[in-house]
Amino acid sequence: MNRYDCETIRDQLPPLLRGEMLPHEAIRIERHLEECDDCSAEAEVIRLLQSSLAPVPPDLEAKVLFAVRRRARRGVPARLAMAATVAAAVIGGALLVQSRQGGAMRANDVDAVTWAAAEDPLLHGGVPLEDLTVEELEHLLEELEP
Amino acid sequence: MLEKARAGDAAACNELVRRYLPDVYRTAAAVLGDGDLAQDAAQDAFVNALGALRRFRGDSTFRTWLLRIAINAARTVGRRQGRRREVTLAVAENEPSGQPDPSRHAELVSETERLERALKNLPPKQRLAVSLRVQQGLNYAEIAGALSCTEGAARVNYHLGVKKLKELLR
Repeated sequence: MNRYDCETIRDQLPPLLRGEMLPHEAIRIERHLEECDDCSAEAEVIRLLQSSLAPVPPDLEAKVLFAVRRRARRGVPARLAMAATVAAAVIGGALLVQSRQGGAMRANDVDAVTWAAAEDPLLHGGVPLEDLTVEELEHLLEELEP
Repeated sequence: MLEKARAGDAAACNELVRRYLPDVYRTAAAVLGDGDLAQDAAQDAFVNALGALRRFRGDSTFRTWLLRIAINAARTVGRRQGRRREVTLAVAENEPSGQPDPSRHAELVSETERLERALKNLPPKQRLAVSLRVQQGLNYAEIAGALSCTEGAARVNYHLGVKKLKELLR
């Protein structure tokens, strides 16, 4: 067997050992393995790797589906919440400065503040922070402070 | 199914989770070497992927795109835990209980431990390339997509990884 044969064979060992090859291809590779110690040793390593495949924890699917649904229920993504928070802070700050300077609050300003607060799930109770774990809060913080 | 999920169909999203969960979990486990952290990463990966589904343009297969997200989620979890140990695959403590043959089980655990030790000695990209190819059946183009490298680099990483494992397990 030449080097090209060995490389081709080794490329095909994972699908062979998963039983994904056509019978005639499998027979060709198995014949090669009987004659080639190097490829045979590699097949043993592949077999060992495949036998050590980690089983998926039985309750993980439910955990993932719960996490996905919870995120979907929140609706507004955290980054948007951040934007709304910043908008509310900026507008609120501007209005505070304006009121201290004696300026009157215009109807549009009031609308803007109301909108920002209503759109911000962090300010408005859309995200019940007390229900989140420390890890989830840290994750949320990472999103808010990239 | 992808189109339905993209349109917000909950049943289609659930089906995507069911179908790809083993791949996502095992990829995260390959990056982190820790089953519990891999569970956290799998949850993050699906939340991130389903949230970004509208941005999936179909440049790669959905599976490749999802695994790239899983790798990133696992790295983030690893950093968050302050233990970026990008190690190993599977293992003994995750073996299903009730093995029919105790001696075979002990032998397998021992082999798995040796394998785990050997895998720790591989560079992360080689370890991941081996896991994706051998344990999850990805082809080189898919591995390249998941690792954000060329197909040639994916092939080299895989072969180097297996070659080193062979030497370490000799």
